[in-house]
Amino acid sequence: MKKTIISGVFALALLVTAGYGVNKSMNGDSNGNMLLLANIEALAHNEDDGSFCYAGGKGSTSCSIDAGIEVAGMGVAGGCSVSCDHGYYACCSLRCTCKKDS
Amino acid sequence: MKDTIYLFMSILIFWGISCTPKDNINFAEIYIDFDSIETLDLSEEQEVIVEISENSIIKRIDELRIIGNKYFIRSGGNLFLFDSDGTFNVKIGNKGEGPHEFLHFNSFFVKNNNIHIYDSMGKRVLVYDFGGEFIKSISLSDQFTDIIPNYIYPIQDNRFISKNTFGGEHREIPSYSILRSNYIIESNINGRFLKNGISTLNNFFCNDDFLLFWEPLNDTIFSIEDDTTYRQKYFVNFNKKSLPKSIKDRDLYDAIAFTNKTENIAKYASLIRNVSENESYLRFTFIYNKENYYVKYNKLTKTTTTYKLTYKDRTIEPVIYFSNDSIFIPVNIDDNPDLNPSIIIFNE
Repeated sequence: MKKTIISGVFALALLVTAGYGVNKSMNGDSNGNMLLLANIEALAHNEDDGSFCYAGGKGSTSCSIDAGIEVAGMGVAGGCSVSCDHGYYACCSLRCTCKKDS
Repeated sequence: MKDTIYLFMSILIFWGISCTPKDNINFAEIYIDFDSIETLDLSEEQEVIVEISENSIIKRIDELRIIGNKYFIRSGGNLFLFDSDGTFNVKIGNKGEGPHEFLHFNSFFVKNNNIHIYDSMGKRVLVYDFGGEFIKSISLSDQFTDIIPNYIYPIQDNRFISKNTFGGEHREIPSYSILRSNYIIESNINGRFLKNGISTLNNFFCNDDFLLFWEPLNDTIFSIEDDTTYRQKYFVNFNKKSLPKSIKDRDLYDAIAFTNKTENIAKYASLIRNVSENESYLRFTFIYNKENYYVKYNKLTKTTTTYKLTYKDRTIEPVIYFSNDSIFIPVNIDDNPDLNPSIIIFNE
């Protein structure tokens, strides 16, 4: 479990580079929050059961995170997004993916 | 007799292998020779100072386009318009839930002399004039069902190309689709599917003659041939500085993590982007050791020239725009965060 959390935090860190704001959107509910790297990492560290969704979550069909992606040591504009079909909900967190409705 | 038969069979096998059609044989290889890199010092080139004001604070440039005599700068989910001398004109639209606002800024383009912002969450395209005035909203509620475009860009024949949204590991979502003028998906590009939710901006090039796309950590530049077909058109050979195939084959998250390791930053070249093509040249940039390199490939002579872009005491932004014989290169003034980036114009 610990390994999962650590690798998850690492994956999210990939998505967020210093100097980039991050904002989340889910199902037309967008608050335009501007969060910094420290906030995201703190949220990720609070994940305890692998179900943490920074954007999206149960009931959401789509979500996205706009953030910088650090590649080869350089910031690249982009992000992560997912749009799910029936029977799944969208979860944008350490990775953007569809999770089965329980 | 037996020897004759063996000899005959060997010749047949050799002939057969030699004549076997090979996949992707019709592509050009662009060899990057790191021993003959030229330096392109931009310090003395024309500089356009991008005006900073209360409404035009740009931390970094995520997307740069020059359309007409205007600079379109996307930064942090906002779109700003500047004159060619850097004077701030207007910010286009706002994020919000109002009728003239976008929930999510996916992509923008200029069509019919108006600015269009595609909002996937709001399922619509918002249209503004060059003064920033809202004109209309085009609903896409009925256009997209199974496949949701993530980015939409105009292409030839009054149509669009889309990079689509990831649908989870359990679904095969085509990476790219061709859209009609009314945004309905006309066809999907066969044989290429989304494997993860990561997306980067600026992955298409289109003019009257060429339609190209490229992807993170892929050393190939692809061409879309018709409504359903793509092919490998250029392969960029970084030679000893190429990422190992075993890394490229990994999950993209893992491959990205590999490139960010300190020991690999100075070891491997990657991240081809800002691709532009005309009849004579293919031009693009890549990253090596946290620096930007510009490649100019002469299609007629099949020769490649590679430049390392430098600017004394300033940081060169990686979003570069090619236009005819000019290159527009944003640079940040490191020691003055109260200024917007400048745009350097290099006339070749």
